[in-house]
Amino acid sequence: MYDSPIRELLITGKKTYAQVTEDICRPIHAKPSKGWLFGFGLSALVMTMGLYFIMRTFLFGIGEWGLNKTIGWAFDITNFVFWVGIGHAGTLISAILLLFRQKWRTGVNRAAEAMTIFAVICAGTFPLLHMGRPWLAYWILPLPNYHGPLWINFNSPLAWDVFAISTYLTVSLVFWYTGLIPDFATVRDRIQNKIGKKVYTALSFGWVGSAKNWQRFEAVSLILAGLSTPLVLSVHTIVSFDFATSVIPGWHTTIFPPYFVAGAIFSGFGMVLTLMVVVRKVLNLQDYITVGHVEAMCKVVVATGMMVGLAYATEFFIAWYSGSMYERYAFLNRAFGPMWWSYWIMVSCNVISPQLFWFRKIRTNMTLVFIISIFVNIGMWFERFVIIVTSLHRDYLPSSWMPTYYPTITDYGILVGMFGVFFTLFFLFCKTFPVIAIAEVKSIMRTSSDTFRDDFVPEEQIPEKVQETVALGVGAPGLVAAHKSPDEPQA
Amino acid sequence: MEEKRYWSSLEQRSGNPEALTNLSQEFPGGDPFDQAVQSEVLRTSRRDFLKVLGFGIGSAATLAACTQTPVKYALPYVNKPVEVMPSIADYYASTYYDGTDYNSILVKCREGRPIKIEGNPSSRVTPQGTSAAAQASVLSMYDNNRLRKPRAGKARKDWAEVIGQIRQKLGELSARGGQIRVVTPTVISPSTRKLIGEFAEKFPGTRWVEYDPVSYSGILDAHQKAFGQRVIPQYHFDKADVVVSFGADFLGTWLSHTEFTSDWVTKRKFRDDPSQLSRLIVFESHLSLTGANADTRIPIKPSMEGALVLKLHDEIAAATGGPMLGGGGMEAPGNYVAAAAQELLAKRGRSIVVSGSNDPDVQLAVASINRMLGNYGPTLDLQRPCYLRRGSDEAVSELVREVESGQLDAIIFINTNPVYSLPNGKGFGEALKKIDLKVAHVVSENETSELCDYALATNHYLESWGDAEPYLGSYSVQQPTIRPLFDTMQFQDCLLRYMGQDGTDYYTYLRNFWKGKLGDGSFEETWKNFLHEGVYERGVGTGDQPAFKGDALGGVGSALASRYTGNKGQTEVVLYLNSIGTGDASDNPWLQELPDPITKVTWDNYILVPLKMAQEMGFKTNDRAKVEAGRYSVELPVLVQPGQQAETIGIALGYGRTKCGKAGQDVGANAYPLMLIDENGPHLFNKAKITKIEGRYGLAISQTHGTIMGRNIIRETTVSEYKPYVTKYQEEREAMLHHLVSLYPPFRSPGHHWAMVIDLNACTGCGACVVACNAENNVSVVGREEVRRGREMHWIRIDRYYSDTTPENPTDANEDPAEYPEVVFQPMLCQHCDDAPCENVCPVLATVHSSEGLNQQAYNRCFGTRYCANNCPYKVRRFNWLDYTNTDKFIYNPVDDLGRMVLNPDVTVRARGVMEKCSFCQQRIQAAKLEAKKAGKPLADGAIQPACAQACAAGAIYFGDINNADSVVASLYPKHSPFEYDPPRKGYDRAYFVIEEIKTRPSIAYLVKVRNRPPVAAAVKA
Repeated sequence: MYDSPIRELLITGKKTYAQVTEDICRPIHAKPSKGWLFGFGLSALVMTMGLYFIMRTFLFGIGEWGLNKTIGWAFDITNFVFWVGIGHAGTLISAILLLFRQKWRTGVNRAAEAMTIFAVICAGTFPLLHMGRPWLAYWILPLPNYHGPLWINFNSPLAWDVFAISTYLTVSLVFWYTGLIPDFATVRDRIQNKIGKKVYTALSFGWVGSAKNWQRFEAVSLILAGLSTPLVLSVHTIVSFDFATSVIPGWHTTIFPPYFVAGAIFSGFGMVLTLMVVVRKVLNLQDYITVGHVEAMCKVVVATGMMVGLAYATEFFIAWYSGSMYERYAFLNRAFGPMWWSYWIMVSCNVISPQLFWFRKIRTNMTLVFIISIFVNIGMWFERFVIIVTSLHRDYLPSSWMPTYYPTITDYGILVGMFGVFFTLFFLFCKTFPVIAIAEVKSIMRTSSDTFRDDFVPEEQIPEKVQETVALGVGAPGLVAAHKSPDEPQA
Repeated sequence: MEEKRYWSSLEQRSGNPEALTNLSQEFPGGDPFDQAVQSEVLRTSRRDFLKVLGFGIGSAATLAACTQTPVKYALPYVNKPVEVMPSIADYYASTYYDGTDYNSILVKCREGRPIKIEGNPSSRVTPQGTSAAAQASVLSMYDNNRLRKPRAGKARKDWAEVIGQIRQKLGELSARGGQIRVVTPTVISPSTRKLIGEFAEKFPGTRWVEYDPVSYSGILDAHQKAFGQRVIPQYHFDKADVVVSFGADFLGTWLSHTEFTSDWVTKRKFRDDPSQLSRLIVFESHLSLTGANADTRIPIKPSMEGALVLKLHDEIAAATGGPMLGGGGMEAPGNYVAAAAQELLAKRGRSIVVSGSNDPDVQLAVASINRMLGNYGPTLDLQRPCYLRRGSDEAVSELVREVESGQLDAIIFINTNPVYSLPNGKGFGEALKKIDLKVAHVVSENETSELCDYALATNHYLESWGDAEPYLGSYSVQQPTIRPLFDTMQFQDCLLRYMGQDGTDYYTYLRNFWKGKLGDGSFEETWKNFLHEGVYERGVGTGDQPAFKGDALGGVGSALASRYTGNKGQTEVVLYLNSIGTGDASDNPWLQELPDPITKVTWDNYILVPLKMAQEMGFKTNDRAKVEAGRYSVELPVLVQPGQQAETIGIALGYGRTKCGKAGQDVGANAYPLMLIDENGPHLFNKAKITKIEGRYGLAISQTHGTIMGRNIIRETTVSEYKPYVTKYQEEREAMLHHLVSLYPPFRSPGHHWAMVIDLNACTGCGACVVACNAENNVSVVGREEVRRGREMHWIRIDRYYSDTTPENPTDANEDPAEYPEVVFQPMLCQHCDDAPCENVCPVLATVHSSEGLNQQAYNRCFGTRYCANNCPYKVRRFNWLDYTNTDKFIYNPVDDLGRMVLNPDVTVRARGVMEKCSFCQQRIQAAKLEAKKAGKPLADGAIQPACAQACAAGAIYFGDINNADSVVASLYPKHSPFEYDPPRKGYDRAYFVIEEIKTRPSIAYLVKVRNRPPVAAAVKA
């Protein structure tokens, strides 16, 4: 069997199959650790605070927020788009990277998919929350009704959103669950607790691990991956239509669909990094989520970050090129108007800070990666805030311009509280689900030889030809490190 | 003989025994009740019964606790009054006069309650529209703060008792020669004047003092001196080609401003040729509504006014050979006085010079100028003098002296509040203690009535009988439109009772007064006609104007030259009025929430600080400052105001009420004490010192950005450039329309297509339309805190832009306004776009287009995503952020049962969480269509007037059907665009749509504003 001298191992620590199962299932069987209890408790507390402010909004109305006649959306839709964006990485990793045969994804895809689903749940609450009369939310669905011929407006991007988000949530959920079935069966087989046994038995859908099971599993995974792939692109495209189809300068832009998708992948990977850097440490999974994984994701971040940066520049160019005074002003106002600070937070977090990932030392330093990933999260939240609020606060008629947006405590409460919801769900996930796809990880292990590590060729001994290829960027390590199947003939 | 037998059934007749047995029983076959009791179902044991009972009570209690459905009783008419037809409005002619503004009005009543004030088209004085205050006055009738019963001491008493006590005391007083004073605002009711005269005869020690909080004594005294008549002439602004105003805000607050607005705009409207436009030159200190509408506005200090009038006088005298007064020592910056003199001289007999000063010498000089120009007669009429102000400063200061020296025995205040509005009101209030009998006739308790022994609840004017004579020979009636809501009595009735005429009520008195005065025909007929029309005109001689007494000018020149020196370097405070008025209407939430026409601030007064002073002293808007003038000081927030003369500051009067309803209580600060009082009376300015103090404030400003940013939202030009301007604009529009393409077929409106045209040349920016819309459409009042957050609910707003197209700033794209900018007003409301951006984004079709071109909002369907408001380029949609109509939090809204009586039953009250906006007064469109249908005639053009158009005294808003080629709007509408389904129109060159280039296809066209000044505005410096 060929062992690539330059390709880093996807799983380190000379694991056996049994060890893998043991490592990943351990948190499920063990008593909750202090770290987990603290994290979960804190998240639940933050979530409770968020629920309090959500309750206030439901009780008293949207007036609890800082919105006004000019700025009709602010934190609500910013949060919505932010969370939808976060929800992009999971499916991208599990579907698109599956299709591209990026084997390294197996270490992180489970957690990333879980993150996707929780993020979409968080995102989905905002369209409901931001309604003046949320108890009538079901009117958005094309249900047969007794209102005569009255139905929904298929021209409205908000109606498209409903279909886009609900489809995305459904497919992601099914995809995620399908992947979980063999692992649930593993947990079922190991668990001692009676109730747990029953629960995991039900969850694992009678999986026995037969060849037929596996054959169908593989087929379904591939089909779902195929189904999810266009969704990764479509969801944020449609979310961007909320703005792109409007007439407000700064919203009315054809660049939005690709720009939003790039931004979503960017922010999704930012959030995956934030979570993974912590999870691998806390759950002791450094062997499965390796530095190589982190590096690969950092590279995705720097690539998408620059796409986003390009989009920012393009917007300015087009604003000038359009000749429309409203368009020109909207962008000048973004950068130099009363809310300039939000624009420059966005640019420095999204375009400048990821540039540090060009340096290997920074990519491999987990603390720095964590900090930069937080910057990416902040920057992407501000990107949506900038698009929504700075475009609205000064649009066509100067008479209605508002100096800036003044958030209320409820605005902040819901913003922070939704992170509480997200992390509460994520902590529950970490405790009850296998955080790494056990079955899939096993498929990329080198177990044919216990001594495969002995074949390791130190770097200085790598033939020159191969080094050149690396320098040329062909088959760059990391992103496509595991691209070649071990079964491929030796070059 | 066999007894005759009657049978009642066939069974009886047959004699069948079984049938007969059954017959004897009420229930054949056994008592059903017994049977029921015996049945299984009802044979309940005691235990079962208790169980069921317990469960029943338990569940009933649970259910009752779960719901809070209040029980409401609707009381139908047992006998329907003839004149009240449910859902059909009645209109009664009446008169609104609050001591500052006069309007002849029609009161719209629904189901017996007045809900809306409208202008009376029969009136000669105010035939068109009303003021904002008149529109809002209906709300003050439903004010919870009103006095509901007479108060004596601290107790509520019955009328009989109170009247008896006062009558007895007055009798005793007058028997021993006691001094009685009756204090009223200017009374324009001829019958009331007669009545007060009779009262004074009955009680010989009585003197009647008419007290105007903002005094017009100067102009009255000047005319007394110059013409021998203590009156104000009637101004004909519709006949003046040049108007020069020295601080007289005749379009906003001065004298009869509703009438003046209607008159003045007739010379500002034009069809094709703007060369006949009148010219308005204003010298003033703070930016008033009149100054904002001026073609040339020269900022001056109030202490320059007299000297500048003097200069103008001598310039005119030199040219006309009139008497020289020795002026000329001072000229306004830019030699504008000399320039104004030249313009006036070119329009002799077709000009007006007017001054807002209360200095008789200034007014004498002004009268002399007008006389030299030959304006008395053509534009100023003393044959038909104005009776809207009668107060005399001399009489008022005499009264103050008498009160302070304790000479008086009784004082009766009628609808007046001198303790609040006198410069030394506090001292006056203290001194009132020395008077034995103090009676106040008030609608609601105020600072003065609080100090009186008796506060007698007076009817609101909509509950009262009365009459009015605003001008000699012009009469107007005041009819009650509802029975008094509370246990109140008109003060005229009280006066009659004090006089012992218990048998006569004021209604009888009024009728008797008018007997024989209403022209030919039987009295009943003429009286009915008077009530129906609301107005009556008596022919008045059109002879020569009274002769000018030349010697009246003696000493005026030297007096003015010595008094008006300009006080170089000395800051002066200017006191002015805004839509709140002198303070009586402070408790009106509609007026409080109406943004000031210039500053756009609601719910407060503040210190207007000029730009330069703000820079020098480090003031920013919302800083706090202290203003000291004389012995008084006031602390208020600062508003940096363009247009304010560099060495002056301004403060509005009418705020800072301390005994008032919830809307006006402690709003702002009282600025009356800052007035300068000298031997010539009180003046609305004073030397002042301004110092910064600690703290910041949050003014509730509805428009925070002042400039137009070089955008073509406003299109304006000047008279000489008008033709090339519109030609160029039309060419540009043609090219622009050519570039717009649509994937959709044009919107079709086969029947009517409603549209509006707004003449920017006519709109003065007063805001009456805003209040009218509030009243018509049940628009919520949200209070200061919500306006501060930018959540006012007004469906129509007046955008005010500062522009500056001087050579230094030709593009006018500045973020900050110039020091002395020009001002333009633009009423902005839902544009009812035919390609409405709001409509296609609503996910639930809550906002849709009607087949008549209306953009409709279905409140029931709306669930509040606010996408429509975000996508509205005009930002005219309003969202119910909170429960404005149903909670105690928004106390200013008519949320109590009393306040709700003002609601228009034709318009839904919107719930929390729904979007709302202008509907083009759809209810009025529908009503007019029904009327036309019933009459079997096509709908006449002009039959539909939205509330805003109807309230507009300037007639700046036209509404109608553009599918009707003969309609006014069709003739004023822009040229047909390729996207229209409507029949082709030639188009009016002056009409334009706001941001037409984004292809919203609005249904509101604006007419280009044309200023009557040289093409490039000269840089005006202070």
